[in-house]
Amino acid sequence: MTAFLRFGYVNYTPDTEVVRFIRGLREGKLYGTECVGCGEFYFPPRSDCGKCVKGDGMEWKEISGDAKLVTFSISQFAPKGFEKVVPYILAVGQLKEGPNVVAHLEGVEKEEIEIGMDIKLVVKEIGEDRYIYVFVPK
Amino acid sequence: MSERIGIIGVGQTSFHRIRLAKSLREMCFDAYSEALDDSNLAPEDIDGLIVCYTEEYDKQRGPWSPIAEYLGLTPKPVVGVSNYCASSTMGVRVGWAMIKSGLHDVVAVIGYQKMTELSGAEVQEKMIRGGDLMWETPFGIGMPHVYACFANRHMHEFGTTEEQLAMVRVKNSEYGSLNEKAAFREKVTVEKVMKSPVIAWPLKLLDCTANADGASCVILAKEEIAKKVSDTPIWIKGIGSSSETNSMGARESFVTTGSWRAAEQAYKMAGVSPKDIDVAEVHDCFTIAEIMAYEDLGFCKKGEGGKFIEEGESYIGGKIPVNVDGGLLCKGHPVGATGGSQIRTITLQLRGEGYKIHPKCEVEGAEIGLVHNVGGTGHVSNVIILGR
Ligand SMILES: CC(C)(COP(=O)(O)OP(=O)(O)OC[C@H]1O[C@@H](n2cnc3c(N)ncnc32)[C@H](O)[C@@H]1OP(=O)(O)O)[C@@H](O)C(=O)NCCC(=O)NCCS
Ligand SMILES: [Zn+2]
Repeated sequence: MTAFLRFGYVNYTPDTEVVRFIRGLREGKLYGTECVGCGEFYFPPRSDCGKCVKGDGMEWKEISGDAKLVTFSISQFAPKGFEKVVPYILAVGQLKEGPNVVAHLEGVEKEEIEIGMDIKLVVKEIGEDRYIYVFVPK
Repeated sequence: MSERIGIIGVGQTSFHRIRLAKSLREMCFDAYSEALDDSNLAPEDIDGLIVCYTEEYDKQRGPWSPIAEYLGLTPKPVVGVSNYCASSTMGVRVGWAMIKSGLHDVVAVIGYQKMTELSGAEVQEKMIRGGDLMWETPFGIGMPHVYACFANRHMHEFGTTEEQLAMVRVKNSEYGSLNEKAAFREKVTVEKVMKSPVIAWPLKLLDCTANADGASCVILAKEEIAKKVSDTPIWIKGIGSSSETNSMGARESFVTTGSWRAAEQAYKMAGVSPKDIDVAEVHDCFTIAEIMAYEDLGFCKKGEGGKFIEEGESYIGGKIPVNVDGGLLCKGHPVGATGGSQIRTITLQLRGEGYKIHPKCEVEGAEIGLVHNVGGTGHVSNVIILGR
């Protein structure tokens, strides 16, 4: 099995140069990449910098996971393949390091959700050697 | 003055959710035949075909090929255009350029989608694969989910209410109930929308458009021909297009689809401003999308879209009548056909033929109209300004 298939409830992207991301997930850590040339930081990681487009290489950097909730929705409807996950809270959180990230928000009741609240992005094991990242309240 | 491009023929099938005994070629034929008849042209006058669609809802690959053959247009040049829900306005943009360049004189733009072969969950599974396949699709981030994220942020920043969202459907259903070609003919109340099942909170079933089958056709011609064959050619005055990031995480704002950029281009090119627009068709795939469109198109300030619908400004008689044919919400949304249907509505309105939708849908004396068509969650936006 291609290692990146270990990411997500459903995965459609087996082949990628950032497959090393999975090693971090196994250790409970989340890594982004920083462009060696221009310093642009990416999470989720990218193997190429879209800002300077130079190909100077990327460096792996662990993230804190600290974030603030930007927006969310509470999904009752599942696209095919997601029946077992529904209902889920889909959240956009802005990481302390800058980028926005899409992930499920878990461990909160509807009434407790407030845009702007402190949340944390953490690794979750969702099957045998299978992972995803989720937001949890901080 | 440089040569103008005119719309001289429009056609559209009914949009429907019932699976009919009709193949996609046959659907496209119906729209094409109606537009050709409307244009007073003969089949041999069409010198290029553009077919607009999004892949995978039906089994045909490269649908431009069988459609060209079925319409009798082989061996003329045929182009396939695929830009999600904005495919057929992108087809009009491509056709505009093909004529403007001098390569073609008359081009037919056909949009179609046949979605009823699949369930709603199957269609969404295809739609989510149009997003960030690697990092976001694995979370099941569908169209209603993203628009619900826009809605929650809009409510947070501007105090927009769920009732105001519902009012968009109420308005569109008032006109949609009159439109024979619409899939949903029921007139609904705010209460009914609010009580419909939650799809992705705060959006409920009636805040959403529905997958449907249908085809549309727009025939474009260079100025000389347009004037010769038509007493009422409708001119393309401004045409703008823009794109937004594929991944939601890379977006700068969650209260816009980004279509204000396409709007700015179109207004500039047409030399008009929002207050000059007499009638508009906007991309109301979800109620929140219409509210954001009012703002992005400059019909009101950012954040005041909720107030705009609440005060009735988008009804006939208000500041700018919007989606007075039922919009996507009531017509249904066969994605590749939708832009062409919007252009048909505005073309009829500007010709003084709005009564062909329904006498009560006609915006009398309309001279300048606007079409706003968004693909995905803003991945692509087209704004086209039309005039008499
Ligand atoms: C909202 C949505 C998820 C509902 O899908 P679903 O649960 O599979 O719905 P179904 O097709 O099973 O229909 C269930 C019932 O709701 C009705 N219905 C479905 N969508 C509706 C809508 N938008 N408006 C009114 N009624 C609708 C159906 O007619 C059906 O009624 P019936 O049982 O009386 O026949 C689906 O319509 C959808 O995905 N809409 C958005 C499409 C989209 O994203 N398009 C691109 C946007 S740019
Ligand atoms: Zn760089």
